[in-house]
Amino acid sequence: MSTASIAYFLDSSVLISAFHGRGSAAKQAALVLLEPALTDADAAIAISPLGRYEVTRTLELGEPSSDHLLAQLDGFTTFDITDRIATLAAALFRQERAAAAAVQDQTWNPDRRRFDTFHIATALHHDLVLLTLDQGMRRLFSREREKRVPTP
Amino acid sequence: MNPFSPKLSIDELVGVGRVELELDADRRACVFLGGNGIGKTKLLEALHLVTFLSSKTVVEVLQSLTPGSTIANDALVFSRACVNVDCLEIKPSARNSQPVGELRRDSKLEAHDLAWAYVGARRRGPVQHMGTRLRSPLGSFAERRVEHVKRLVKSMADGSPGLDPQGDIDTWFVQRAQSSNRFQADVDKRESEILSVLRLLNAVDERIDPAFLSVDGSEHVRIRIEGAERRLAELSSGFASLLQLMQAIVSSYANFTQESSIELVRGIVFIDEIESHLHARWQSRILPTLKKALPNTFFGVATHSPLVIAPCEEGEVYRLARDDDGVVRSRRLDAPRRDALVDVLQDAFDVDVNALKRDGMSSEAQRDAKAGLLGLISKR
Repeated sequence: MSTASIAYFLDSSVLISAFHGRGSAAKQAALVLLEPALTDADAAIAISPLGRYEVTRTLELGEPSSDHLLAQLDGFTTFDITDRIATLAAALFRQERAAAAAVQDQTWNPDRRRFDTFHIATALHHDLVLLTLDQGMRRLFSREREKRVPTP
Repeated sequence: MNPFSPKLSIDELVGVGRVELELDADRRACVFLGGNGIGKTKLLEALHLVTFLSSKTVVEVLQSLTPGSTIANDALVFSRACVNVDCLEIKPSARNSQPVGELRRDSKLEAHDLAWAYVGARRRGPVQHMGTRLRSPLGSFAERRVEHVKRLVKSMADGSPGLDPQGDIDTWFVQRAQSSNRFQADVDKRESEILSVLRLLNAVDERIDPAFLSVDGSEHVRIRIEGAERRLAELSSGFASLLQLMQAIVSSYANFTQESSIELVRGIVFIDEIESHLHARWQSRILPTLKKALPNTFFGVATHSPLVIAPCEEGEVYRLARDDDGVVRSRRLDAPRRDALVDVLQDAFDVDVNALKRDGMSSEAQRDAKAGLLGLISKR
């Protein structure tokens, strides 16, 4: 079986918006982000147990479409959360917190960012393209990715 | 508790070279990891040789035998072994073997009165029923002890490190069962050995009846698993391997003691490839169970299994690796019991499970899941 030419990592926010956000702008944005990845015959998708948890907790018990969604997620690669990823995630979180404090950014919300750096760290560690609706996550991911892969 | 701590060095270990280990003194197990060829098995053989040549029992027994017991050069797997500052040196010899007495005299290692067992990996597996009824009497304790040392010496003379588990395990059980009749002198009733083996088996897997063993008229031995009687020769290789492991420990220990509770004896058990043939569940339970069941025993173990080390305590697991200067040294693996198995695999065995998943990500394999997810979110 051939390996994928491009591999994406799904942030939970994009899945949650795509599944729940009927008629919303967030749903449209999620579809725009997801559709190319899901229709590209050479692409593969990855998630993590943490992302799966974040999606699953939004689902209503007993709703058939919830089971259908989880069944589809079973078909994607699930990366284990390792000590290396946890260490990288913690380092990113602390770095962001310090940066926000340095510029007295009152909008930086630690509770909201609690798991974001985990998703970013997973994507970075495994050289995956992060699919997220969150601008802050995109910025941090892009910046860290550039640091890890020097431009030739 | 670790008799080889804190510093152990071995020179000219056959096929390996110099080995330097720093081991935690307070631990009751020392589990060695490392790639194939790094010298785990040879290290256990060396520790067994050190134990053998430092044994008061061996000295006593050999004094009672005709002089001239020798060890083949093949079994003398090192030129020098030091536990801290005390050393045992094996002088080069042009002969094919060396007298045990001379080797002992040259040793500065402290003599011990421990029982010990070496369980090799080579002959664990299916139990064979030999069906022979010609066997020598079990003998008195003194006679059994002499025979055990003779067998050890013979194995050394043959160039083997110790006694591998016996193929015909039925005979061992039959002998002990026959000794357990009401006419036998109490001192030579060996039912305790059978019960010790059964208790150890039950400790690893509660499906094995700790109080049942039967021998039929054809001398087939049966144990009871999940209520069903099973002949030893019919056991799966996993059950057989577990049985052989426990039998090898008990049969060796019983030659050093007349205690009825053999499990309580002070001793050392060396086990090469402890995971051999064992189901994953048993691999994860075998070492903690042995430590609990044999509370006065130190275990020296070699393994390739992450499941064996997963429940280990800090200071019990050491990875062997060759440094740039050619010396094989131990690197302590911190708290595998505390770590996730995926991290243990990476740190101890260089197996990156996530990297394997990453390399194996296949768009083709995900075709249905991708189409299913797209269809689901598009409809909502």
